[in-house]
Amino acid sequence: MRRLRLPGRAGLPRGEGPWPWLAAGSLALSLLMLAALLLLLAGRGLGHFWPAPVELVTLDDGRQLAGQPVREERRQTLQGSPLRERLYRTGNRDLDGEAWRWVEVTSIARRERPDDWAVIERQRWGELIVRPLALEEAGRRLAEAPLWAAFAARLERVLSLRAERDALRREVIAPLARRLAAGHDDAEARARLTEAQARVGELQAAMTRDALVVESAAGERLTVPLESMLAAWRPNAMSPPEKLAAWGANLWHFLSEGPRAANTAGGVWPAIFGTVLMVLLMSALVTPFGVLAAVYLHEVAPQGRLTGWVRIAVRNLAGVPSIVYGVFGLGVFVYGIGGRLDDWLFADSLPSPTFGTGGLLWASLTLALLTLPVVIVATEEGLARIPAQQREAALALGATRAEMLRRVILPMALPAMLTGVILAIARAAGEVAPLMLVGVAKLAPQVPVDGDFPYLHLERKFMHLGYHVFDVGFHSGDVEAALPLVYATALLLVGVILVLNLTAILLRHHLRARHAALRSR
Amino acid sequence: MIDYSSPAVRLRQRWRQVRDRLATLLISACGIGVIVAVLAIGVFLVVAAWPLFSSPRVASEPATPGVEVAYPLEAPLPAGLEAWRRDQHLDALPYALSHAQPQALGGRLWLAEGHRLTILALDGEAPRRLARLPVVEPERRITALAALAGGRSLVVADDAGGLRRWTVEAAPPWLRLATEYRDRGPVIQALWTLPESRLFLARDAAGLSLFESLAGQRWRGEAPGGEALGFDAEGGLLWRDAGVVQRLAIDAPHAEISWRTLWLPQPYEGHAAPQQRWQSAGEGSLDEPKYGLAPLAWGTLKAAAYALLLAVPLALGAAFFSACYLPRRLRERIKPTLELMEALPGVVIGFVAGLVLAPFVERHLAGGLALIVLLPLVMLLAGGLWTRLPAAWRRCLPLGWAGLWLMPWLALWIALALWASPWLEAALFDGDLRGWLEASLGLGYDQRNALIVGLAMGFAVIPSIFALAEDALSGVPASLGEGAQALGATRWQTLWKVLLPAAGPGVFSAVMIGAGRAVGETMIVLMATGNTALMSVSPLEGMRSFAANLAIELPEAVPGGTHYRVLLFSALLLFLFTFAVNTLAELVRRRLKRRYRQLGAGR
Amino acid sequence: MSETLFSQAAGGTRSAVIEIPAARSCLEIDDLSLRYGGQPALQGLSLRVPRHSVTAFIGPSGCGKSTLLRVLNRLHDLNDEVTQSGRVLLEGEDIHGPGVAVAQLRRRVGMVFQTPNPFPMSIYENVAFGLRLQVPLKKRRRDEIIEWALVSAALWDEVKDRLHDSAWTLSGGQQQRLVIARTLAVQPEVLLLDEPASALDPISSLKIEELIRNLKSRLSVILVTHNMQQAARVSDYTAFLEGGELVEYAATDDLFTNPRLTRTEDYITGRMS
Repeated sequence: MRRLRLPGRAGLPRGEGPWPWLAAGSLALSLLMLAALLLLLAGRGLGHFWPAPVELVTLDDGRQLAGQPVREERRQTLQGSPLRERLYRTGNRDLDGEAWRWVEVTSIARRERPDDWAVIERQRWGELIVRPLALEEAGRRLAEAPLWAAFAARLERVLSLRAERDALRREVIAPLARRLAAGHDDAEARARLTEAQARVGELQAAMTRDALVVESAAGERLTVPLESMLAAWRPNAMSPPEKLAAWGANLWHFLSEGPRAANTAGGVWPAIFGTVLMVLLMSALVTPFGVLAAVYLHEVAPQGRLTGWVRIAVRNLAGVPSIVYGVFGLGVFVYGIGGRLDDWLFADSLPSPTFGTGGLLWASLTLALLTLPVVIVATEEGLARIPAQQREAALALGATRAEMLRRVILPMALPAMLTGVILAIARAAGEVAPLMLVGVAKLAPQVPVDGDFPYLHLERKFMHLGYHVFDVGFHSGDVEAALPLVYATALLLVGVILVLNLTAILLRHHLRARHAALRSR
Repeated sequence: MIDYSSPAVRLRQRWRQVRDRLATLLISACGIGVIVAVLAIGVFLVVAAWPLFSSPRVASEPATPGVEVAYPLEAPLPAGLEAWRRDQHLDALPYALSHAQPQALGGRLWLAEGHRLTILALDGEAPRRLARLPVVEPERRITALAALAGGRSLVVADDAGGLRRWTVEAAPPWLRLATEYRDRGPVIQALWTLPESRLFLARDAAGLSLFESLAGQRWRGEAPGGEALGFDAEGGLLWRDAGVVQRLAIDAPHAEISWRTLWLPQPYEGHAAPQQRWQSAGEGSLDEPKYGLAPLAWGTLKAAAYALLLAVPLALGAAFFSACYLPRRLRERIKPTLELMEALPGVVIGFVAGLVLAPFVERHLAGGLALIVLLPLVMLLAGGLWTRLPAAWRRCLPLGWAGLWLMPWLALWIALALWASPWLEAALFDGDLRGWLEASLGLGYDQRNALIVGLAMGFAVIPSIFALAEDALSGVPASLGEGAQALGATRWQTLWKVLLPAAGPGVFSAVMIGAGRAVGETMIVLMATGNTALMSVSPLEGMRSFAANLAIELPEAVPGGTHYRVLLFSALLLFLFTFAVNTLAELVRRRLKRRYRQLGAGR
Repeated sequence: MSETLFSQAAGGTRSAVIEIPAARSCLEIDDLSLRYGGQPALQGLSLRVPRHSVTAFIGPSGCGKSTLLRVLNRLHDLNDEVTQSGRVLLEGEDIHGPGVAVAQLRRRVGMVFQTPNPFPMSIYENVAFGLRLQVPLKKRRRDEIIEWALVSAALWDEVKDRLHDSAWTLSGGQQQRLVIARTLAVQPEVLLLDEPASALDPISSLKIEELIRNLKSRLSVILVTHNMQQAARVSDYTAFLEGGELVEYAATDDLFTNPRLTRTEDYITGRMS
């Protein structure tokens, strides 16, 4: 394509007037908004995992608080004078009833970052931001020095004990219990179960041995059993490499663990798993059918007016709102087919529905339908780009149409199909609205894949990254606590989708270059 | 060398032929199946929404033997009340009774005395007279009276054949005329309300009519001869004629829905004037459900309009700049970048809009509003300064790259405006812009409002409009533009005089596609507005769109019910609208492509 | 050769067609007419193509010579807009007959197009393509046939060391010979060549011509060309078509030195001088 270029210097000859500047400004503003959004997501999403420093703040009136500064805002007082406030994440929800504190900046008398303050993550009640004072073993005060190293070692022991206990529960007790529940009553299993349960009891007891005595900024002392802790760190005492390591570890926990505390803490592993599984199922459905439909439209169907209209209609279905597909999925798949299946196959569990409610299968089917037009259009474009001579050459050699398609045309159209499927995946991964109707759950206790027959449970509800963003951001009790997680989840989702799209764009670029070469021969 | 006539080879040839037929059959079957499945969406929605508009079916059939009256024709009065009526010698008068269904009203008894109604409260030992009001013209007489389910509507028939519905209020004026079903006609002898529904039967000398409280008369037919007994448990009217019990089956599940009740203001209970309202009632509730689609349609179009208000100028400006000024290499980078922008999921944009942008704009409202005026001025200022720059500087900042080097400039001014926002607000609006807006313009402020939706959805729509408009503009044969420039036109003049007239339909179809996307976008509207079904133009108030409404209400709606079907009908509207818009855009684009080919160039 | 010449007046125009005995012809075209949509492209063509010789179809662009070639290979089956009447007999059998599988027919009547169009596979796979479809063979046997086909197409020496390179790495002339080899590999009885050298440089073009002359010992070749020198150099018989009609069909020497009809003469001299 030739561009309109003015000869000579790239300047403004004879005055282009004010309009180009508005046009340039529009482009700049669009790009600026995109950059701002991505930077915001990246900054907040990744920054959340960085061990933020703990500030010990002394106020005008002598009160003290310890917390991690989050952000500052300008507000108006009732009198109308502006005032700057800083938000501190103070933790200690069980002590103060509130894990966040807004502090007026002008009322701060002194800020320090003492090395000995620690952030302790617990299984319940969120974080503690406290100063460790001493270690206790079975109620007896220890005089080990240095305190932090001793505490870290003992916490390490508790964590390994917990890991052993969880593994025991998951790998020995649960299968045995299932076996016994299923009616295989044998003495050996029973004995092994009792033994394992006894061992769990021992581990549990060993974990409760140690406790840490801490002091909060308000001067309250409390004894925290190590058994309740998940992790602990002293951000002010950490060197940058240590912080980086902690950042990486936090990121890994986020990616690999399940959510805790009503989705406001922990990780998003089930949501990643659900998204990926759903998208895989969807691609497995959409790829063959989309390709077959495109091949039919382009290679088999008579190229008449009707085919032309069908082609336009299919193309336009890509522009139909996703929620309408969700409505279709709910009405036809869930209530229609699912309800029927329940009547026929799962009548004994009615009225609680099995397939008659949203689930993995219906969600994948709905999204497959939603992305079919994408695959069909992309494949058809690929087929249209293959010169007719290739088809004739194959036929002239005595190939049947099926052989011509399978051996010559489809291999050549492969990159185009791939592009279509990748675009479909990118679109499906980001769609949330239809899923809200056909099967996503805010918290699915079981992932749809497990060790029970038939291993892949198509009727189960699943978690989804996009819905996780919506749900945690809009339906959680503590939005401030959830916000960093939402940022991180959103960043993850955007990252996945951008990578998929970039792949598709590069593939298409490569494809165009190749076909240009083919055509110039 | 190869013997093609050998039996093995022949067999193979036969097999190849069969395989080819099978493959063609498979491809055709799958292809047609898939296409039919995809196109079935529209069919499904039509089929699912169709029963809403079917007329009620009323049919007489023999009653099953032993069927009993579950609901009498007239609610019997409690014993005490019956005695009281006899004492007062009022037992000949038509009456209507409502138990204490709406707590606010308490139980009521209405007695028809000539053209007046006596309203009695049933809250004490004996009925207490609240008022006596004329409800028909003085020369008429009330012939029948009935209270509808829920007890907030009273239907009154008179001896001239008039039939009116009054809504009941807790305080004077006690009654308010809501609907006049008719003024004259056959005299109605009896009104029977169907159990647990807002339907009632009116019997006159000529026949029987079925009315719905809002939609009016839905059916009229012959009244069976004999004597009506009451309603059975399924809501069928039992009837005895010459000793044989007949059953009048009334099948009108969606009688309250008509084009009028969906789209026009309706006299709902509890409102002084007819209202446009969307307020679905819960399952089994006796509250009057309000299925006015107008507020949702309004919300949908309002959100789309504000989004387009931002997206169209920005996207078209960017497309113009890209098509006329951007150097080719840069353009090849920027187009995929904006394609990536299109891929950003709605849920992420909605989250940022609802949880980050909305509170931020609320705090910096003055600065934000100032930016709308300031940004274009700043762009022009940049242009003005640029022409005054020394030539060497200008070479460093070529116009073709202005789309990039204007970014820091704009960022600077945005930061400046937001920083100055409190001072601006203090200086101009006594430090409280929202108070000022409320007081002087009467504008309320919702945190998640149309402005936020416009920004967020505009952002989401920009890339699709940009990409299509840019394609249309750069598809114009280069010879046209070069011809104009050779005649001494500037690039902007060329754009305006040559490119746009040629590519106009393509640009138009780009805007249409953008509009289609904005209308159907769900998550952004869901997350960035308060989802209240208001009908206001104000950019500072929220709305509820069809798509968001579907996402919120459909999971709870009972399949097959009126609510469910109305929701599916709204999905059908969305489908038809976007499908029509996209088809139109596609046809325009095809025609344009053909035109470019005729103009002698193209790709 | 016993050749009888006869003249006929069809639709007011005269034509001169050499009669080839049925026993010596491999293809017989009988009163063939064809329309594209409503547009007539071939009108009442009748001729016999002799076995083991090169027959050239010449004529101005749009005279229907390529269309005729595509009829012989039944490539028009793909196009819904084409309607045709008349018969084409291959070794006495109607190619449109109900018992004829089109894939088999195309195996027997090979076709090579104007622009070289190798598949995006290796050289070896290109030649093996048709073979693999037709018959399952042991690898050794298949390799033999492929070598034979490449040798027959005079390409073997140039590609024997890089059989597994992409076919697109070959030059245009080599590609065209590869396409011919690919067609020869399935052992067609008739080879249709649609301006096989027009997209090539003069040297490649000469190589192809030499190849065509060598091929006629094995099969019958029909060559469509707009290059009359080529037709004169290569072919034994030449048919001159104009406006969808067969004008003159004769032994090549006769046609070029002693055309019977003025239309033929005008065309030949107009172009050759």
